[in-house]
Amino acid sequence: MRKSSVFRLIVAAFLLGGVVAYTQQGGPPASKLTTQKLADDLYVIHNDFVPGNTTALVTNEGVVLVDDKFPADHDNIIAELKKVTTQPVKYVVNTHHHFDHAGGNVAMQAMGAQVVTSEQARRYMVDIKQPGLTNIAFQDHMHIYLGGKNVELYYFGKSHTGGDIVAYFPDQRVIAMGDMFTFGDATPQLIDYAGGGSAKEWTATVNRALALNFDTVVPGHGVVTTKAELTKFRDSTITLRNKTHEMIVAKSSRADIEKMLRADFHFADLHIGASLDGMMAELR
Amino acid sequence: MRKSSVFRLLAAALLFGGVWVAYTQQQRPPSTLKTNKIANDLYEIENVGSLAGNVTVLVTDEGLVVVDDKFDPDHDNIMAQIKTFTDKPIKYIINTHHHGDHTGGNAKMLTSGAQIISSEEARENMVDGKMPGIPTLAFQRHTHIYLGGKNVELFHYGRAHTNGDSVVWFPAQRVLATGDMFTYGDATPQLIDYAGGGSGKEWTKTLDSALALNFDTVVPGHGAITTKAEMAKFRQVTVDLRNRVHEMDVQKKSKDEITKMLQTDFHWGPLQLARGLDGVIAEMQ
Repeated sequence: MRKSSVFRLIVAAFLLGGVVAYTQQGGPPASKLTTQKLADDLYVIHNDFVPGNTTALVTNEGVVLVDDKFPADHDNIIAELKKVTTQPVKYVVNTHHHFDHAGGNVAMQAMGAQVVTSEQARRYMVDIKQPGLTNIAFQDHMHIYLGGKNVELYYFGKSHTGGDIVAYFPDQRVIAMGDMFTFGDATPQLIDYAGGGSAKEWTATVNRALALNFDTVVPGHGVVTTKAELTKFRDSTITLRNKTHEMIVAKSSRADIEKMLRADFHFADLHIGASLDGMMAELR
Repeated sequence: MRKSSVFRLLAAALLFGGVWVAYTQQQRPPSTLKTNKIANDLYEIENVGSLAGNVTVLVTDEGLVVVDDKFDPDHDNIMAQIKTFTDKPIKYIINTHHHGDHTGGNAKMLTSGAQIISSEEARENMVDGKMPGIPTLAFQRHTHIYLGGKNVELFHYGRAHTNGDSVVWFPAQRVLATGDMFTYGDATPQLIDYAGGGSGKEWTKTLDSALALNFDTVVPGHGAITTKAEMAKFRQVTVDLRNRVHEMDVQKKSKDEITKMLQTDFHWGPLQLARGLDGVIAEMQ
Protein backbone atom coordinates (compact mmCIF):
# COMPACT_ATOMS: atom_id res chain seq x y z
CA MET A 1 0.00 0.00 0.00
CA ARG A 2 1.45 3.35 -0.97
CA LYS A 3 1.73 6.14 1.58
CA SER A 4 -0.90 8.27 -0.14
CA SER A 5 -3.41 5.45 0.01
CA VAL A 6 -2.68 4.80 3.63
CA PHE A 7 -3.20 8.48 4.25
CA ARG A 8 -6.47 8.48 2.37
CA LEU A 9 -7.65 5.48 4.32
CA ILE A 10 -6.71 7.12 7.59
CA VAL A 11 -8.60 10.26 6.63
CA ALA A 12 -11.61 8.21 5.64
CA ALA A 13 -11.32 6.30 8.87
CA PHE A 14 -11.33 9.46 10.96
CA LEU A 15 -14.38 10.68 9.13
CA LEU A 16 -16.10 7.46 9.94
CA GLY A 17 -15.00 7.60 13.53
CA GLY A 18 -15.58 4.00 14.41
CA VAL A 19 -13.27 2.83 11.71
CA VAL A 20 -10.15 4.58 13.01
CA ALA A 21 -9.53 1.09 13.51
CA TYR A 22 -8.61 0.35 9.97
CA THR A 23 -5.11 1.79 10.32
CA GLN A 24 -2.08 0.01 11.67
CA GLN A 25 -1.57 2.12 14.76
CA GLY A 26 -2.40 -0.79 17.03
CA GLY A 27 -6.04 -0.79 16.13
CA PRO A 28 -9.11 0.21 18.13
CA PRO A 29 -10.24 -0.90 21.56
CA ALA A 30 -11.46 -4.47 21.87
CA SER A 31 -14.80 -5.38 20.34
CA LYS A 32 -17.53 -7.27 22.11
CA LEU A 33 -17.45 -10.81 20.81
CA THR A 34 -20.06 -13.52 20.58
CA THR A 35 -19.55 -17.13 19.58
CA GLN A 36 -21.87 -18.98 17.25
CA LYS A 37 -21.77 -22.74 16.76
CA LEU A 38 -21.93 -23.85 13.12
CA ALA A 39 -21.16 -27.54 13.69
CA ASP A 40 -19.96 -29.70 16.57
CA ASP A 41 -16.39 -28.67 15.82
CA LEU A 42 -16.82 -25.35 14.02
CA TYR A 43 -17.49 -21.93 15.52
CA VAL A 44 -17.64 -18.31 14.43
CA ILE A 45 -16.42 -15.61 16.77
CA HIS A 46 -18.47 -12.66 15.63
CA ASN A 47 -18.65 -8.94 16.32
CA ASP A 48 -20.49 -5.99 14.81
CA PHE A 49 -19.12 -4.27 11.71
CA VAL A 50 -15.37 -4.19 12.27
CA PRO A 51 -13.09 -6.19 12.83
CA GLY A 52 -13.55 -9.27 10.67
CA ASN A 53 -15.20 -12.52 11.66
CA THR A 54 -13.07 -15.29 13.15
CA THR A 55 -13.80 -18.95 12.38
CA ALA A 56 -12.48 -21.74 14.61
CA LEU A 57 -12.17 -25.43 13.75
CA VAL A 58 -11.65 -27.49 16.88
CA THR A 59 -9.77 -30.79 16.70
CA ASN A 60 -8.29 -32.96 19.41
CA GLU A 61 -4.81 -31.83 18.35
CA GLY A 62 -5.52 -28.10 18.38
CA VAL A 63 -7.48 -25.31 16.77
CA VAL A 64 -7.32 -23.88 13.25
CA LEU A 65 -8.40 -20.24 13.31
CA VAL A 66 -9.38 -18.19 10.28
CA ASP A 67 -8.54 -14.50 10.91
CA ASP A 68 -7.63 -13.01 14.26
CA LYS A 69 -9.09 -9.47 14.28
CA PHE A 70 -7.18 -6.52 15.80
CA PRO A 71 -4.45 -6.87 18.45
CA ALA A 72 -6.82 -5.58 21.15
CA ASP A 73 -9.24 -8.42 20.42
CA HIS A 74 -6.71 -11.16 21.11
CA ASP A 75 -7.53 -11.78 24.77
CA ASN A 76 -11.25 -11.87 24.03
CA ILE A 77 -10.77 -14.32 21.15
CA ILE A 78 -8.84 -16.62 23.46
CA ALA A 79 -11.55 -16.20 26.12
CA GLU A 80 -14.26 -17.11 23.59
CA LEU A 81 -12.26 -20.17 22.49
CA LYS A 82 -11.87 -21.27 26.12
CA LYS A 83 -15.64 -21.57 26.32
CA VAL A 84 -15.66 -24.28 23.66
CA THR A 85 -12.27 -26.02 23.92
CA THR A 86 -9.11 -26.37 25.93
CA GLN A 87 -7.06 -27.02 22.78
CA PRO A 88 -4.38 -24.49 21.80
CA VAL A 89 -4.42 -22.55 18.53
CA LYS A 90 -2.11 -24.39 16.13
CA TYR A 91 -2.77 -22.52 12.89
CA VAL A 92 -4.06 -19.07 12.04
CA VAL A 93 -5.16 -18.53 8.46
CA ASN A 94 -5.31 -14.90 7.30
CA THR A 95 -7.84 -14.49 4.50
CA HIS A 96 -5.94 -11.32 3.52
CA HIS A 97 -3.43 -8.88 4.94
CA HIS A 98 -5.73 -6.22 6.44
CA PHE A 99 -5.12 -5.51 10.08
CA ASP A 100 -8.71 -6.18 11.15
CA HIS A 101 -8.12 -9.80 10.03
CA ALA A 102 -4.41 -10.25 10.78
CA GLY A 103 -3.91 -7.94 13.76
CA GLY A 104 -3.74 -10.79 16.26
CA ASN A 105 -0.91 -12.57 14.46
CA VAL A 106 1.90 -11.40 16.75
CA ALA A 107 0.11 -12.60 19.86
CA MET A 108 -0.94 -15.86 18.19
CA GLN A 109 2.63 -16.55 17.05
CA ALA A 110 3.86 -15.85 20.57
CA MET A 111 1.52 -18.66 21.69
CA GLY A 112 3.12 -20.99 19.15
CA ALA A 113 0.63 -20.78 16.28
CA GLN A 114 1.68 -20.94 12.63
CA VAL A 115 0.26 -18.23 10.39
CA VAL A 116 -0.68 -19.23 6.84
CA THR A 117 -1.65 -16.89 3.96
CA SER A 118 -1.30 -16.55 0.24
CA GLU A 119 2.07 -15.37 -1.07
CA GLN A 120 0.43 -12.17 -2.28
CA ALA A 121 -1.11 -11.39 1.11
CA ARG A 122 2.26 -11.85 2.75
CA ARG A 123 3.89 -9.54 0.23
CA TYR A 124 1.42 -6.76 1.12
CA MET A 125 2.19 -7.30 4.82
CA VAL A 126 5.90 -6.95 4.08
CA ASP A 127 5.32 -3.83 1.92
CA ILE A 128 3.48 -1.98 4.67
CA LYS A 129 5.76 -3.36 7.40
CA GLN A 130 2.84 -4.99 9.20
CA PRO A 131 3.82 -7.01 12.27
CA GLY A 132 3.00 -10.71 12.57
CA LEU A 133 4.25 -11.85 9.17
CA THR A 134 3.08 -15.14 7.77
CA ASN A 135 5.12 -18.30 8.45
CA ILE A 136 3.79 -20.23 5.49
CA ALA A 137 2.72 -18.57 2.24
CA PHE A 138 1.25 -20.63 -0.58
CA GLN A 139 0.56 -19.92 -4.22
CA ASP A 140 -2.72 -21.53 -5.20
CA HIS A 141 -3.87 -24.25 -2.84
CA MET A 142 -2.89 -25.63 0.55
CA HIS A 143 -4.34 -28.22 2.90
CA ILE A 144 -4.01 -28.07 6.66
CA TYR A 145 -4.44 -31.44 8.35
CA LEU A 146 -4.92 -31.47 12.10
CA GLY A 147 -6.40 -34.06 14.41
CA GLY A 148 -7.80 -36.08 11.53
CA LYS A 149 -9.57 -33.02 10.09
CA ASN A 150 -8.88 -31.04 6.98
CA VAL A 151 -9.10 -27.39 5.99
CA GLU A 152 -8.53 -26.38 2.38
CA LEU A 153 -7.22 -22.97 1.43
CA TYR A 154 -7.62 -21.55 -2.05
CA TYR A 155 -6.25 -18.49 -3.75
CA PHE A 156 -8.61 -17.88 -6.67
CA GLY A 157 -7.43 -14.48 -7.87
CA LYS A 158 -7.97 -10.80 -7.09
CA SER A 159 -11.07 -9.35 -5.42
CA HIS A 160 -11.04 -7.29 -2.20
CA THR A 161 -7.22 -7.31 -2.35
CA GLY A 162 -4.65 -9.04 -4.53
CA GLY A 163 -4.13 -11.77 -1.95
CA ASP A 164 -7.56 -12.98 -0.80
CA ILE A 165 -7.97 -16.62 0.08
CA VAL A 166 -10.98 -18.64 1.15
CA ALA A 167 -10.92 -21.35 3.82
CA TYR A 168 -13.06 -24.36 2.99
CA PHE A 169 -14.24 -26.88 5.57
CA PRO A 170 -15.41 -29.76 3.36
CA ASP A 171 -16.77 -32.01 6.15
CA GLN A 172 -18.87 -29.20 7.60
CA ARG A 173 -19.79 -27.82 4.16
CA VAL A 174 -18.78 -24.36 5.34
CA ILE A 175 -16.65 -21.70 3.67
CA ALA A 176 -14.99 -18.70 5.31
CA MET A 177 -14.75 -16.06 2.61
CA GLY A 178 -12.79 -13.20 4.14
CA ASP A 179 -13.70 -9.86 2.61
CA MET A 180 -14.24 -11.38 -0.83
CA PHE A 181 -17.77 -11.52 0.58
CA THR A 182 -19.06 -9.02 3.12
CA PHE A 183 -22.69 -9.37 4.10
CA GLY A 184 -25.08 -6.55 4.89
CA ASP A 185 -25.41 -2.89 3.93
CA ALA A 186 -23.13 -1.74 6.77
CA THR A 187 -20.18 -3.49 5.11
CA PRO A 188 -20.54 -3.10 1.34
CA GLN A 189 -18.04 -4.30 -1.23
CA LEU A 190 -14.66 -2.62 -0.65
CA ILE A 191 -12.13 -2.76 -3.45
CA ASP A 192 -8.72 -2.03 -1.99
CA TYR A 193 -6.85 -1.03 -5.12
CA ALA A 194 -3.72 -0.08 -3.19
CA GLY A 195 -3.76 -3.62 -1.81
CA GLY A 196 -4.11 -5.18 -5.25
CA GLY A 197 -7.92 -5.41 -5.34
CA SER A 198 -9.92 -5.54 -8.56
CA ALA A 199 -13.60 -4.91 -9.26
CA LYS A 200 -13.20 -6.44 -12.69
CA GLU A 201 -11.73 -9.76 -11.52
CA TRP A 202 -13.84 -9.96 -8.37
CA THR A 203 -16.76 -11.79 -10.01
CA ALA A 204 -14.62 -14.52 -11.58
CA THR A 205 -12.80 -14.99 -8.27
CA VAL A 206 -16.08 -15.41 -6.36
CA ASN A 207 -17.34 -17.80 -9.03
CA ARG A 208 -14.38 -20.10 -8.38
CA ALA A 209 -15.28 -20.13 -4.69
CA LEU A 210 -18.93 -20.80 -5.52
CA ALA A 211 -17.86 -23.97 -7.36
CA LEU A 212 -16.93 -25.58 -4.02
CA ASN A 213 -19.48 -27.71 -2.13
CA PHE A 214 -20.85 -25.81 0.86
CA ASP A 215 -24.11 -24.64 2.38
CA THR A 216 -23.02 -22.15 5.00
CA VAL A 217 -20.92 -19.04 4.48
CA VAL A 218 -18.92 -17.04 6.99
CA PRO A 219 -18.50 -13.62 5.39
CA GLY A 220 -15.51 -11.41 6.22
CA HIS A 221 -17.93 -9.02 7.93
CA GLY A 222 -21.59 -9.52 8.76
CA VAL A 223 -23.59 -12.47 10.05
CA VAL A 224 -23.20 -16.10 8.99
CA THR A 225 -25.33 -16.80 5.96
CA THR A 226 -26.02 -19.10 3.01
CA LYS A 227 -24.58 -19.92 -0.38
CA ALA A 228 -27.66 -18.29 -1.93
CA GLU A 229 -26.71 -14.96 -0.33
CA LEU A 230 -23.15 -15.33 -1.61
CA THR A 231 -24.56 -15.84 -5.09
CA LYS A 232 -26.63 -12.66 -4.70
CA PHE A 233 -23.51 -10.80 -3.64
CA ARG A 234 -21.70 -12.17 -6.69
CA ASP A 235 -24.49 -10.73 -8.84
CA SER A 236 -24.13 -7.36 -7.13
CA THR A 237 -20.42 -7.29 -8.06
CA ILE A 238 -21.53 -7.49 -11.70
CA THR A 239 -24.12 -4.73 -11.27
CA LEU A 240 -21.53 -2.54 -9.56
CA ARG A 241 -19.08 -2.99 -12.43
CA ASN A 242 -21.67 -2.45 -15.12
CA LYS A 243 -23.21 0.66 -13.57
CA THR A 244 -19.84 2.27 -12.98
CA HIS A 245 -18.65 1.38 -16.47
CA GLU A 246 -21.80 2.82 -18.06
CA MET A 247 -21.40 6.08 -16.15
CA ILE A 248 -17.76 6.35 -17.16
CA VAL A 249 -18.69 5.74 -20.79
CA ALA A 250 -21.48 8.35 -20.46
CA LYS A 251 -18.81 10.78 -19.17
CA SER A 252 -20.54 11.18 -15.80
CA SER A 253 -18.52 13.19 -13.29
CA ARG A 254 -16.55 11.61 -10.48
CA ALA A 255 -18.99 13.24 -8.07
CA ASP A 256 -21.98 11.65 -9.82
CA ILE A 257 -20.37 8.23 -9.74
CA GLU A 258 -19.58 8.71 -6.07
CA LYS A 259 -23.20 9.66 -5.43
CA MET A 260 -24.42 6.55 -7.26
CA LEU A 261 -22.06 4.29 -5.28
CA ARG A 262 -23.25 5.78 -2.00
CA ALA A 263 -26.92 5.61 -2.92
CA ASP A 264 -27.12 2.28 -4.71
CA PHE A 265 -24.24 0.30 -3.18
CA HIS A 266 -24.03 1.76 0.34
CA PHE A 267 -20.44 2.94 -0.14
CA ALA A 268 -19.22 4.94 2.86
CA ASP A 269 -16.19 7.28 2.98
CA LEU A 270 -13.91 4.33 3.55
CA HIS A 271 -15.11 2.60 0.39
CA ILE A 272 -15.00 5.76 -1.68
CA GLY A 273 -11.47 6.46 -0.43
CA ALA A 274 -10.15 2.97 -1.13
CA SER A 275 -12.08 2.21 -4.32
CA LEU A 276 -13.40 5.15 -6.34
CA ASP A 277 -10.25 6.27 -8.18
CA GLY A 278 -9.27 2.70 -8.87
CA MET A 279 -12.71 1.83 -10.19
CA MET A 280 -12.71 4.85 -12.47
CA ALA A 281 -9.39 3.70 -13.90
CA GLU A 282 -10.24 0.00 -14.10
CA LEU A 283 -13.80 0.14 -15.38
CA ARG A 284 -13.53 2.61 -18.23
CA MET B 1 -2.02 -47.77 -5.48
CA ARG B 2 -4.14 -50.35 -7.25
CA LYS B 3 -4.20 -53.94 -6.10
CA SER B 4 -2.59 -55.24 -9.29
CA SER B 5 0.34 -52.88 -8.87
CA VAL B 6 0.74 -53.95 -5.30
CA PHE B 7 0.75 -57.57 -6.44
CA ARG B 8 3.30 -56.89 -9.13
CA LEU B 9 5.51 -55.08 -6.67
CA LEU B 10 5.19 -57.87 -4.16
CA ALA B 11 6.12 -60.40 -6.79
CA ALA B 12 9.09 -58.31 -7.81
CA ALA B 13 9.98 -57.90 -4.17
CA LEU B 14 10.08 -61.61 -3.62
CA LEU B 15 12.30 -62.01 -6.65
CA PHE B 16 14.69 -59.33 -5.59
CA GLY B 17 14.38 -60.17 -1.94
CA GLY B 18 17.18 -58.46 -0.12
CA VAL B 19 17.27 -55.15 -1.93
CA TRP B 20 13.54 -54.72 -1.77
CA VAL B 21 13.33 -55.43 1.91
CA ALA B 22 16.03 -52.86 2.39
CA TYR B 23 13.88 -50.23 0.71
CA THR B 24 10.76 -50.80 2.77
CA GLN B 25 10.21 -49.95 6.38
CA GLN B 26 11.46 -53.16 7.90
CA GLN B 27 13.77 -52.99 10.85
CA ARG B 28 17.24 -52.12 9.73
CA PRO B 29 20.37 -50.97 11.48
CA PRO B 30 20.79 -47.19 11.51
CA SER B 31 23.03 -45.71 8.83
CA THR B 32 26.40 -44.19 9.56
CA LEU B 33 25.94 -40.46 9.06
CA LYS B 34 28.27 -37.62 8.21
CA THR B 35 27.58 -33.87 8.04
CA ASN B 36 28.75 -31.55 5.26
CA LYS B 37 28.59 -27.77 5.60
CA ILE B 38 27.25 -26.06 2.47
CA ALA B 39 26.90 -22.51 3.83
CA ASN B 40 27.08 -20.85 7.24
CA ASP B 41 23.48 -21.78 7.89
CA LEU B 42 23.03 -24.80 5.62
CA TYR B 43 24.15 -28.38 6.17
CA GLU B 44 23.70 -31.73 4.53
CA ILE B 45 23.61 -35.02 6.42
CA GLU B 46 24.70 -37.85 4.18
CA ASN B 47 24.96 -41.53 4.93
CA VAL B 48 27.81 -43.82 4.15
CA GLY B 49 26.92 -46.90 2.14
CA SER B 50 23.22 -47.07 2.88
CA LEU B 51 19.99 -46.47 0.99
CA ALA B 52 18.67 -43.60 3.09
CA GLY B 53 18.15 -40.28 1.33
CA ASN B 54 20.17 -37.14 1.97
CA VAL B 55 19.00 -34.71 4.63
CA THR B 56 19.40 -30.93 4.30
CA VAL B 57 19.22 -28.62 7.31
CA LEU B 58 18.67 -24.84 7.30
CA VAL B 59 19.58 -23.19 10.59
CA THR B 60 17.77 -20.03 11.72
CA ASP B 61 17.51 -18.18 15.04
CA GLU B 62 13.98 -19.48 15.43
CA GLY B 63 14.60 -23.12 14.58
CA LEU B 64 15.44 -25.51 11.78
CA VAL B 65 13.93 -26.43 8.45
CA VAL B 66 14.91 -29.98 7.54
CA VAL B 67 14.49 -31.61 4.14
CA ASP B 68 13.75 -35.35 4.42
CA ASP B 69 14.37 -37.50 7.49
CA LYS B 70 15.72 -40.86 6.23
CA PHE B 71 14.52 -44.15 7.75
CA ASP B 72 12.97 -44.43 11.19
CA PRO B 73 16.07 -46.03 12.81
CA ASP B 74 18.19 -43.11 11.56
CA HIS B 75 16.30 -40.60 13.72
CA ASP B 76 18.59 -40.58 16.75
CA ASN B 77 21.67 -40.30 14.57
CA ILE B 78 20.17 -37.42 12.59
CA MET B 79 19.47 -35.62 15.86
CA ALA B 80 23.02 -36.31 17.03
CA GLN B 81 24.48 -34.92 13.79
CA ILE B 82 22.32 -31.80 14.07
CA LYS B 83 23.50 -31.29 17.68
CA THR B 84 27.07 -30.95 16.37
CA PHE B 85 26.23 -27.62 14.70
CA THR B 86 23.12 -26.20 16.39
CA ASP B 87 20.96 -26.52 19.49
CA LYS B 88 17.86 -25.11 17.77
CA PRO B 89 14.73 -27.28 17.56
CA ILE B 90 13.33 -28.63 14.29
CA LYS B 91 10.33 -26.55 13.25
CA TYR B 92 9.60 -27.92 9.78
CA ILE B 93 10.28 -31.18 8.00
CA ILE B 94 9.85 -31.12 4.25
CA ASN B 95 9.31 -34.46 2.51
CA THR B 96 10.52 -34.35 -1.10
CA HIS B 97 8.35 -37.43 -1.74
CA HIS B 98 6.62 -40.22 0.15
CA HIS B 99 9.25 -43.01 0.13
CA GLY B 100 10.24 -44.47 3.47
CA ASP B 101 13.92 -43.61 3.04
CA HIS B 102 12.95 -39.90 3.00
CA THR B 103 9.96 -39.91 5.40
CA GLY B 104 10.83 -42.68 7.87
CA GLY B 105 11.64 -40.20 10.63
CA ASN B 106 8.32 -38.33 10.33
CA ALA B 107 6.49 -40.04 13.19
CA LYS B 108 9.24 -39.19 15.69
CA MET B 109 9.62 -35.68 14.29
CA LEU B 110 5.88 -35.06 14.73
CA THR B 111 6.11 -36.21 18.33
CA SER B 112 8.78 -33.62 19.00
CA GLY B 113 6.55 -30.84 17.64
CA ALA B 114 7.74 -30.37 14.05
CA GLN B 115 5.36 -29.53 11.20
CA ILE B 116 5.63 -31.82 8.20
CA ILE B 117 4.95 -30.48 4.74
CA SER B 118 4.82 -32.15 1.33
CA SER B 119 2.99 -31.93 -1.97
CA GLU B 120 -0.63 -33.07 -1.94
CA GLU B 121 0.28 -36.07 -4.11
CA ALA B 122 3.10 -37.18 -1.82
CA ARG B 123 0.76 -36.98 1.14
CA GLU B 124 -1.90 -38.95 -0.70
CA ASN B 125 0.65 -41.65 -1.46
CA MET B 126 1.54 -41.82 2.23
CA VAL B 127 -2.12 -42.11 3.21
CA ASP B 128 -2.70 -44.82 0.57
CA GLY B 129 0.37 -46.71 1.77
CA LYS B 130 -0.73 -46.36 5.42
CA MET B 131 2.69 -44.93 6.18
CA PRO B 132 3.39 -43.48 9.62
CA GLY B 133 3.99 -39.74 10.14
CA ILE B 134 1.56 -38.22 7.62
CA PRO B 135 2.32 -34.58 6.70
CA THR B 136 0.34 -31.87 8.48
CA LEU B 137 0.50 -29.43 5.55
CA ALA B 138 0.17 -30.22 1.87
CA PHE B 139 0.60 -27.76 -0.99
CA GLN B 140 -0.28 -27.87 -4.65
CA ARG B 141 2.38 -26.11 -6.70
CA HIS B 142 4.40 -23.66 -4.67
CA THR B 143 4.76 -22.56 -1.10
CA HIS B 144 7.18 -20.53 1.01
CA ILE B 145 8.29 -21.32 4.52
CA TYR B 146 9.53 -18.30 6.46
CA LEU B 147 11.48 -18.85 9.64
CA GLY B 148 13.86 -16.62 11.57
CA GLY B 149 14.10 -14.10 8.74
CA LYS B 150 14.96 -16.80 6.21
CA ASN B 151 13.01 -18.22 3.34
CA VAL B 152 12.69 -21.68 1.81
CA GLU B 153 10.66 -22.26 -1.33
CA LEU B 154 8.99 -25.54 -2.26
CA PHE B 155 7.95 -26.36 -5.79
CA HIS B 156 5.93 -29.26 -7.12
CA TYR B 157 6.48 -29.16 -10.87
CA GLY B 158 4.99 -32.45 -12.02
CA ARG B 159 5.84 -36.12 -12.22
CA ALA B 160 9.35 -37.57 -12.13
CA HIS B 161 10.54 -40.18 -9.59
CA THR B 162 6.95 -40.23 -8.24
CA ASN B 163 3.89 -38.07 -8.90
CA GLY B 164 4.52 -36.06 -5.75
CA ASP B 165 8.16 -34.93 -6.01
CA SER B 166 9.04 -31.51 -4.65
CA VAL B 167 12.28 -29.60 -4.89
CA VAL B 168 13.37 -27.30 -2.08
CA TRP B 169 15.09 -24.09 -3.02
CA PHE B 170 17.25 -22.03 -0.68
CA PRO B 171 17.45 -18.81 -2.71
CA ALA B 172 19.83 -16.92 -0.38
CA GLN B 173 22.29 -19.83 -0.41
CA ARG B 174 21.69 -20.62 -4.09
CA VAL B 175 21.18 -24.27 -3.18
CA LEU B 176 18.57 -26.75 -4.41
CA ALA B 177 17.62 -30.00 -2.65
CA THR B 178 16.07 -32.14 -5.37
CA GLY B 179 14.90 -35.29 -3.66
CA ASP B 180 15.04 -38.28 -5.99
CA MET B 181 14.13 -36.21 -9.02
CA PHE B 182 17.92 -36.12 -9.22
CA THR B 183 20.08 -38.92 -7.86
CA TYR B 184 23.82 -38.62 -8.36
CA GLY B 185 26.27 -41.37 -9.14
CA ASP B 186 26.12 -44.77 -10.79
CA ALA B 187 25.20 -46.46 -7.51
CA THR B 188 21.86 -44.63 -7.48
CA PRO B 189 20.63 -44.37 -11.06
CA GLN B 190 17.30 -42.89 -12.14
CA LEU B 191 14.47 -44.80 -10.47
CA ILE B 192 11.00 -44.43 -11.97
CA ASP B 193 8.47 -45.53 -9.37
CA TYR B 194 5.47 -46.15 -11.61
CA ALA B 195 3.36 -47.53 -8.77
CA GLY B 196 4.05 -44.25 -6.97
CA GLY B 197 2.94 -42.21 -9.96
CA GLY B 198 6.40 -41.70 -11.49
CA SER B 199 6.92 -41.01 -15.18
CA GLY B 200 10.01 -41.40 -17.36
CA LYS B 201 8.33 -39.37 -20.05
CA GLU B 202 7.48 -36.32 -17.94
CA TRP B 203 10.66 -36.47 -15.88
CA THR B 204 12.71 -34.27 -18.23
CA LYS B 205 10.12 -31.48 -18.34
CA THR B 206 9.82 -31.57 -14.56
CA LEU B 207 13.61 -31.29 -14.23
CA ASP B 208 13.65 -28.40 -16.69
CA SER B 209 11.31 -26.42 -14.45
CA ALA B 210 13.65 -27.01 -11.52
CA LEU B 211 16.71 -26.12 -13.59
CA ALA B 212 15.13 -22.72 -14.33
CA LEU B 213 15.66 -21.70 -10.68
CA ASN B 214 18.79 -19.80 -9.66
CA PHE B 215 21.20 -22.06 -7.81
CA ASP B 216 24.78 -23.30 -7.98
CA THR B 217 24.84 -26.21 -5.58
CA VAL B 218 22.64 -29.28 -5.60
CA VAL B 219 21.83 -31.74 -2.85
CA PRO B 220 20.60 -34.79 -4.76
CA GLY B 221 18.20 -37.27 -3.20
CA HIS B 222 21.03 -39.79 -3.05
CA GLY B 223 24.74 -39.29 -3.75
CA ALA B 224 27.26 -36.57 -3.02
CA ILE B 225 26.57 -32.82 -3.11
CA THR B 226 27.22 -31.54 -6.59
CA THR B 227 26.65 -28.74 -9.11
CA LYS B 228 23.91 -27.48 -11.37
CA ALA B 229 26.04 -28.65 -14.34
CA GLU B 230 25.88 -32.25 -13.06
CA MET B 231 22.12 -31.97 -12.66
CA ALA B 232 21.89 -30.76 -16.25
CA LYS B 233 23.89 -33.86 -17.30
CA PHE B 234 21.46 -36.04 -15.39
CA ARG B 235 18.65 -34.34 -17.28
CA GLN B 236 20.30 -35.48 -20.51
CA VAL B 237 20.41 -39.04 -19.15
CA THR B 238 16.63 -38.91 -18.70
CA VAL B 239 16.30 -37.91 -22.36
CA ASP B 240 18.68 -40.66 -23.53
CA LEU B 241 16.87 -43.27 -21.45
CA ARG B 242 13.52 -42.32 -22.91
CA ASN B 243 14.84 -42.41 -26.45
CA ARG B 244 16.66 -45.71 -26.06
CA VAL B 245 13.69 -47.50 -24.52
CA HIS B 246 11.36 -46.03 -27.12
CA GLU B 247 13.61 -47.18 -29.99
CA MET B 248 13.81 -50.68 -28.56
CA ASP B 249 10.02 -50.70 -28.01
CA VAL B 250 9.53 -49.74 -31.65
CA GLN B 251 11.96 -52.45 -32.76
CA LYS B 252 9.94 -54.94 -30.69
CA LYS B 253 12.98 -55.86 -28.60
CA SER B 254 12.30 -58.34 -25.83
CA LYS B 255 11.95 -57.40 -22.19
CA ASP B 256 15.24 -59.19 -21.56
CA GLU B 257 17.06 -57.12 -24.13
CA ILE B 258 15.68 -53.89 -22.71
CA THR B 259 16.63 -55.06 -19.21
CA LYS B 260 20.17 -55.75 -20.34
CA MET B 261 20.43 -52.34 -22.02
CA LEU B 262 19.18 -50.54 -18.89
CA GLN B 263 21.63 -52.50 -16.73
CA THR B 264 24.59 -51.86 -19.01
CA ASP B 265 24.01 -48.32 -20.21
CA PHE B 266 22.03 -46.80 -17.33
CA HIS B 267 23.35 -48.78 -14.35
CA TRP B 268 19.91 -50.03 -13.41
CA GLY B 269 19.96 -52.49 -10.52
CA PRO B 270 17.28 -54.84 -9.18
CA LEU B 271 15.44 -52.01 -7.45
CA GLN B 272 15.25 -49.81 -10.55
CA LEU B 273 14.07 -52.80 -12.60
CA ALA B 274 11.48 -53.86 -10.04
CA ARG B 275 9.90 -50.43 -9.87
CA GLY B 276 10.51 -49.13 -13.36
CA LEU B 277 10.92 -51.80 -16.04
CA ASP B 278 7.33 -52.74 -16.89
CA GLY B 279 6.23 -49.14 -16.57
CA VAL B 280 8.97 -47.72 -18.74
CA ILE B 281 8.39 -50.30 -21.49
CA ALA B 282 4.67 -49.45 -21.48
CA GLU B 283 5.14 -45.67 -21.26
CA MET B 284 7.72 -45.36 -24.05
CA GLN B 285 5.76 -47.33 -26.66
